[in-house]
Amino acid sequence: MRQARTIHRRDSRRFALLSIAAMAALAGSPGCAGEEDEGADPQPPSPSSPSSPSSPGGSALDARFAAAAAEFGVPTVLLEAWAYAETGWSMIPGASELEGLEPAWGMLALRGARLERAAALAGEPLDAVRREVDAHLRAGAALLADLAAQQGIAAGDQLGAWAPAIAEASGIADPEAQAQFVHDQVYAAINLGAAVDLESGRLASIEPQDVEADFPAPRRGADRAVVDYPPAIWHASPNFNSRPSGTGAELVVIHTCEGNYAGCWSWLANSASGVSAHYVVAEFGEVSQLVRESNRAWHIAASYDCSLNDNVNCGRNGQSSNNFTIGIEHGGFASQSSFPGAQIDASAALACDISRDWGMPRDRNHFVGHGQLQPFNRTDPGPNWPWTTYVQKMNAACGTGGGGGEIIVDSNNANNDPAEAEVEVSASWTSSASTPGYYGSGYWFAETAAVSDGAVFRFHLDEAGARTIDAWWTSGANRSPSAPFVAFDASGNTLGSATRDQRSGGSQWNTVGTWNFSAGWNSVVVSRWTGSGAVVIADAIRVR
Amino acid sequence: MRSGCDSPTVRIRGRTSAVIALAAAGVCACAGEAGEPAAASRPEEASRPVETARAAPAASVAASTPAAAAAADPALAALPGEIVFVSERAGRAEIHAIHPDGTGHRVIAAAPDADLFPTAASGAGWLLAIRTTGGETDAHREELIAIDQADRAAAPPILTAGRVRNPSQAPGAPWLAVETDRESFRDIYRVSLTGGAPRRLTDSPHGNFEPAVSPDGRLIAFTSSRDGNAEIYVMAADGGREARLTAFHRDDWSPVWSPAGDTLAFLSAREGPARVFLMRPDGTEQRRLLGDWDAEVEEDAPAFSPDGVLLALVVRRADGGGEVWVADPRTGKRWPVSAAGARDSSPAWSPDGHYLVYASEVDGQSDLFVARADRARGGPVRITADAAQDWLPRWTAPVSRAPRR
Repeated sequence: MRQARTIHRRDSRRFALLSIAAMAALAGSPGCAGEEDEGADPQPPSPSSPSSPSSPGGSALDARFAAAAAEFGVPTVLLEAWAYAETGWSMIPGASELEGLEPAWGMLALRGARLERAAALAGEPLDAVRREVDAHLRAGAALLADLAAQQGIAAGDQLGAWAPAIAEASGIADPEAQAQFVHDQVYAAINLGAAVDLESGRLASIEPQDVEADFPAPRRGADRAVVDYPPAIWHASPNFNSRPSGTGAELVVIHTCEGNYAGCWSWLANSASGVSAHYVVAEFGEVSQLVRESNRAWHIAASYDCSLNDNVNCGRNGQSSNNFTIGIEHGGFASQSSFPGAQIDASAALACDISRDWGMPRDRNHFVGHGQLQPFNRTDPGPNWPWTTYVQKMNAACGTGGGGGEIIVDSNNANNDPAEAEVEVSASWTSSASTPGYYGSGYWFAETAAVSDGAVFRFHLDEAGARTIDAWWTSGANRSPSAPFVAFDASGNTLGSATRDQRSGGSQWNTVGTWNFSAGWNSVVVSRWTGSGAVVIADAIRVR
Repeated sequence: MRSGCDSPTVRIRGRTSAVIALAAAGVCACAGEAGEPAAASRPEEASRPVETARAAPAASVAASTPAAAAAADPALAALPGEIVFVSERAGRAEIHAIHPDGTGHRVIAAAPDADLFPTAASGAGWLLAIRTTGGETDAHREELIAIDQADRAAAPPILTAGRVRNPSQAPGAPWLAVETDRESFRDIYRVSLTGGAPRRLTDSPHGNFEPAVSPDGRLIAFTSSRDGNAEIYVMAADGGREARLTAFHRDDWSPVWSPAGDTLAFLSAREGPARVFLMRPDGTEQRRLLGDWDAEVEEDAPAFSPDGVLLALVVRRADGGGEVWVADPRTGKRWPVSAAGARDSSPAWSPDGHYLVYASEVDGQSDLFVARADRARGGPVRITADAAQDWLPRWTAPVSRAPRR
């Protein structure tokens, strides 16, 4: 079950410009967003900007939700939870990702006809509803009240009774997706509570309370049928066809839905949309699969299908990028200033699985943003998608490059994860980056001598077990033909040793040996104690 | 006068800048230094560029007229060259130009059915650009084209097959290195500007990317995923003699040559966040450009100054905001050039090395700013202020009006 989440978010410019005045009012922050920085000392940017104390108790945004809700007789917490489920209380500036869906605006991600109707009901100009917080919330509240009235829901009814109005207000057509949005996104925010904290203070919050939505529950796992990725839920989309024969997946394209998860997968599973993706990852980490990986989803619109053009130009040149890509959509918006950790973790685990199945390198050349592939006015997954973190989490999920099974200990601790890898050398060792082909940012060398003064590569194992050690060095004529490697367990017991000729075998992993290491901090030492007149190289070891 | 290789490979994904990585990237072309693109010859008339009717008012941060921009820094009016950039004022991405003081805005190239992205001026008034077209039922293309920077005429495309990215050129050289998927996942090709078939230089199934031609035209640095993740390699300019320069289980990418060809700047995630590193062209002496930032800070878009002494870069915080900084690798000193709080991208040096132009996004609106590289005189000056997106600036040297032949 998922936990209540408090989102800690920097005061992004987008937020600051909700309207400067609004933000100042919201969090008591001075309207500093547009300030010049003339006198700034050349210092690194600090993670903490000067902040003002947050308003005690609820925030000013809570009050503005309350005002709009009261005016139109809808429950404040419901309006607030709806906005939280849609956007995490971000004012979205007209975002569009999916073919056939109008751009979404504001905290309630109102689109198209619903946006116009909401504006009309509230008597607000369309543009104000799109861009101004109070006008937007008034319009949303008016829309919710109107939809409730149509379903015979009255102002004094229990919170749970409003669920059908929220389902309608979402604009989602698919009943299963409606149920998921109502239960897992809107009412979950009420049941579990929610908060968004900016540096300058609390933006808004929902106190948890027990409420049951009066709405059919999602079927939950009934469709967990045939999926390529076991944790995924299967929501079949009709919008796919075969990949051209001989074509597999070579590239993964990361998208954001520009809307919420349930609305996203349900639209992609709708035959009327004519678009799809292989996967949709929820803000809270759930994964839906819509199209089998072996099939061709329609997630990159600006692409070429030669069958639609008299089979002209079917060569690689004219190929649709859909032919050789897997598309992963993410609930949310490209413009949001951060993505929930649960979503990044879930997506990275999925990405690891895909990379294994298709033999893709796990790097930034094979996991790319939609915009990298399609130079149009689409922005997803946005400038704030954490690419570096994403690639590292994907590798960790696959047990490569740190985390999971494999550990690499580099000769430079800046490159090591201190939780599992560390190098230590005495002053007798010299740092160098002068022979090319080293691992990472350089290596250590020392002259051979009959002293126990080795370079110590430490690594942490959670559990005891056999591990194979590989070593990396730069080779050269002055290297030792018998560089000693000695393995120790976490208690300091010698497990064994081996020598390797470092005059050759440079710039690659060379297997040193396999030993039974213990739980805790084990080590492999590159020793100087060998035939004199040469140097030994300590560059990196790999534990696998 | 050389304009230097001031067009870094940009990796920003922004609102419209999603496209940057595709189109942009480092054409190391030096305006005014020959390099005659395309086969078609151009008329030699020396008319001044036509000011367009849609010239937009420039604005400083505090004011909204070219006069204000000039008042903010009178030296701007005397700066040489022209800033070429992407503007979406008419919906699609068009190539516009403006003087460094915010005057003289004009449209260089626009197409009703295509997006156009400038790479960098290639000399004699020619501008190399990527033209992207495509939709549901026609081929999605990214073509390399040449445009006459002065009279806006477009020459026949240079390279049409495959989706072309990251063209790179040695100053004045009559050929480019590009990345395309015309025959494979992604490989590097050598493309002559004077005719002839493109020559494929690399072949590995996991792809080769981001070619960067050395200033002397002898080497091409590039990124490859052949060992399982992105690393930097170098090869001879006609292919062959490939050598791996970096080795680490996290990505190294976006190589950029110093103007003298003695240093490569690149991005690396080896320490976790993406940071600018420097190395010799043989892979030795790899080192971080700058010392410690907060752990979450990432660096991007390194660009050597025309004299090779300084680097501009984008310093980006975890919230996506970020500023343009200038660093001196010899001393380790660094200083911010742009104002704090926005999302800045793609810094490009003025030909004289005293100024930088960059795109700055505030609340989803991107405009161009010019700032002194040493912050000696005032703060950044806004030179575009249209509500539409203006981004991907490239500072071209004065247009030579004497195309060769």
